[in-house]
Amino acid sequence: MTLLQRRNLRRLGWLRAAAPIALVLAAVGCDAAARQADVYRVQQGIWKAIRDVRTARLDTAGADSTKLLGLRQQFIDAIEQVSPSAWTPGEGGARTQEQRRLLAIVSQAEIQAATLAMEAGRPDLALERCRALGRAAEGDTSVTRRMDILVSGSLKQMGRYDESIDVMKAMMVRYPPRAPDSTGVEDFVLGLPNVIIDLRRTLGDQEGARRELADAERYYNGLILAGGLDPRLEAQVRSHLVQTYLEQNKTAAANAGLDSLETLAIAYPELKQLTPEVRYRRAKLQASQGGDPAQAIAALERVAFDFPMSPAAVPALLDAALLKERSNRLPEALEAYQAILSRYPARRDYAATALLRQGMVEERLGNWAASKRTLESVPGLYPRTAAAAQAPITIAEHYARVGDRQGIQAALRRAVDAYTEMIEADSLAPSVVQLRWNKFRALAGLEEADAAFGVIESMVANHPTSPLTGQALLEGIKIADRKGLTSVSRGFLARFVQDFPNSPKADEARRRLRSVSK
Amino acid sequence: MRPWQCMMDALRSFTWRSYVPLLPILIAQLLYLVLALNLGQAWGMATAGAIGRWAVGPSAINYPASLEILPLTSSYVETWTFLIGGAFALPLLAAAVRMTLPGGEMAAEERSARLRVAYPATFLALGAAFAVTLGWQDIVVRFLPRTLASFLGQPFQVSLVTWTISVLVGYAIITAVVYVPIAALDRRAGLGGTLRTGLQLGLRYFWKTYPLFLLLSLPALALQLVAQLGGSLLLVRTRPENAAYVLFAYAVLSSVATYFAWNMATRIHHAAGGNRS
Repeated sequence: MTLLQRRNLRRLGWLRAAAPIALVLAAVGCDAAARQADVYRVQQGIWKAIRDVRTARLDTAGADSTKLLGLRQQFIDAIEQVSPSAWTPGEGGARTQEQRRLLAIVSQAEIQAATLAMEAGRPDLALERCRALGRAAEGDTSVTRRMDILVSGSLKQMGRYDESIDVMKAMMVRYPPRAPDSTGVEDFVLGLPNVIIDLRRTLGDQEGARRELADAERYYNGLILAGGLDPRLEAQVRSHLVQTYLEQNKTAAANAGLDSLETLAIAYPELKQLTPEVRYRRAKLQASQGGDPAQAIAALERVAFDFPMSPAAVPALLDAALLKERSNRLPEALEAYQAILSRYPARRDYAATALLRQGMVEERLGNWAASKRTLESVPGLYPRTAAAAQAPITIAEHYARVGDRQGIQAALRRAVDAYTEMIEADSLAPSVVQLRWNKFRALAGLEEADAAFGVIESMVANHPTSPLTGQALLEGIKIADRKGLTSVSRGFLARFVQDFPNSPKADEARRRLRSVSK
Repeated sequence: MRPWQCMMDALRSFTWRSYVPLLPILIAQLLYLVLALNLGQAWGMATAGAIGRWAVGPSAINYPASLEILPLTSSYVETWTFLIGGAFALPLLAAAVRMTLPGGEMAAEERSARLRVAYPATFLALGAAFAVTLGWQDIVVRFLPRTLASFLGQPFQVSLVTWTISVLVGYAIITAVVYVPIAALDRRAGLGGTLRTGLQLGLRYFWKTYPLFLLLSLPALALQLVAQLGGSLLLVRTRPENAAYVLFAYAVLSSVATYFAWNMATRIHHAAGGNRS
């Protein structure tokens, strides 16, 4: 063998050794590139879907539910570019960085899809997908938190309020609240007890709301007792706790809570922004304890004057105005409500209440024409607020007070129309139970029994566990009895006994049901 | 012969045969853009994705960030392909043009010998020019926007003036080395001598070449302006892929401008009495 041949053979030997290594490297490289390409395709699909959503939102014609569901499908198609196994952890149980990245992208798309489904009135479509992704993302709390929020929201929109509340309560256990970042925005988990309480109140379940308040107190106290909280988080927890005490009229505990908050604000300069809130709550506490309302009014107005940009400014002004109204300082109260409306029109809930109260004060000042105009404008200006639900009934109540029978009839008729419109505008909102209850009251006032019974049936079908439904059934029984409609009365009694077995009126209803069934 | 006439002759004398040396560079640049448009495929991600990741970082493989930074990554690809491919293509182009001019003919062996010196000389000249340009751009990006901001105020105006100054100086630097491959074909000389002569010619013909070089590059520069300053606008207002389509057109126009610029420079040198064997 010549030297050249030997050298060539040696080169071939190197090649033989290098070839498998090169093949393995190429395969690994290709595999990684293929996975990255998958992620890229998902991102591409999501981007296109987001652009189409933006175009649809800018379209003056708006997007109907078919269009919204079509847009949702684009997000689903983008997600389904990759198999869920792509983000499933391996045998070790931990996800790779690439898998975490993909999961974050997919969850963002799922949020968009779920939001569109809910907007299209199909929360059922969002529910199952969010539950499935939540299960698949087990271990990645940034994803499971978001999925749980969507599950709870979907259940709420579907009218499954108790299940929605159960999910929220599970979240409170599962996700310890996080300390705020530099923006100071609090973790949504911390506000969940308030969401639950508000939901119970919106559903007309005052007893349930009281129970939830007690639970909230336990939850916030538990967080404080566990210790080790970041000072900013501790301040947020204590602030919620004070609010909970105030709503339960536990003034001594609320005062002690405010003292702790003040101590925190003094100890940590970065918590200086707590000052307006502490001062507002102190003033509110002072007002709730009786005594000279003028002092409480001055303290509340001082908060709004000293900290006009603080979130506490508007509630302070509103509370001051309400105190003036209660103290019969009506012209001053009127001015205060008008000031809230002109200075803080974007704070919708407060502005709606201010407008409603303005109408009521105008009535008390004897200016019914202005009062009527104001009250009639509330549902149009602030739809889906408690004030909007209250305004039509307030007008009818005025006519009842002055004994104007024709006025009552006309006002009740307008109230029925207004409630029908509000219910149709958002038939899945939790506040609809209150609107249906008000509509029932207006129809009962008009003595339109059949229409009133129709409303009771829709309440039974849509809000079977709401205390307002129970109340409507009891009122319906009275109307049916007056009209001699025994079968209707028996039907309502049976429904009441079945749906509200623990109500204080249940025993009496059972007795009556037995007697009418004989 | 006036430089203007040289430019017009260059425009009139276009032949595919003389353009062929620049074609591989253009193909490489277009191929990169095709790959960058297909990061959703494994082959796109493994090639253009890897280049983007290496040049910019992990954000380069996200959509639509990959298309937002495409003007930057493709400018890197353009620089490298032009540096390596141009070292061969520009002497070949200059030789092809020279052969068509009266008195510019030379024997095949002589041509080969002179080209052997022209390749490394052009590579070094282009490399040096790109290095100086990069250094200059670094200075421009660091200091100029801050200074301009106090005079102009509007961020777009600041970006526009910065870009214009950057391009004008960048083209001036390239103009200085345009004549290196042309000088290499004049006579047999060593690497150092060729570089020195090329740079001397570049400076001598600077004001004859530079304005026309800019004029020939105007269409490509207009697209470069759109891609580099209007990239975000293209991304948000239209489809992100449009940034790549603008770069496709830019690559073609830039290649054509390069062809005409070196063709014209060869003619300017020939008209001045150079290029005679």
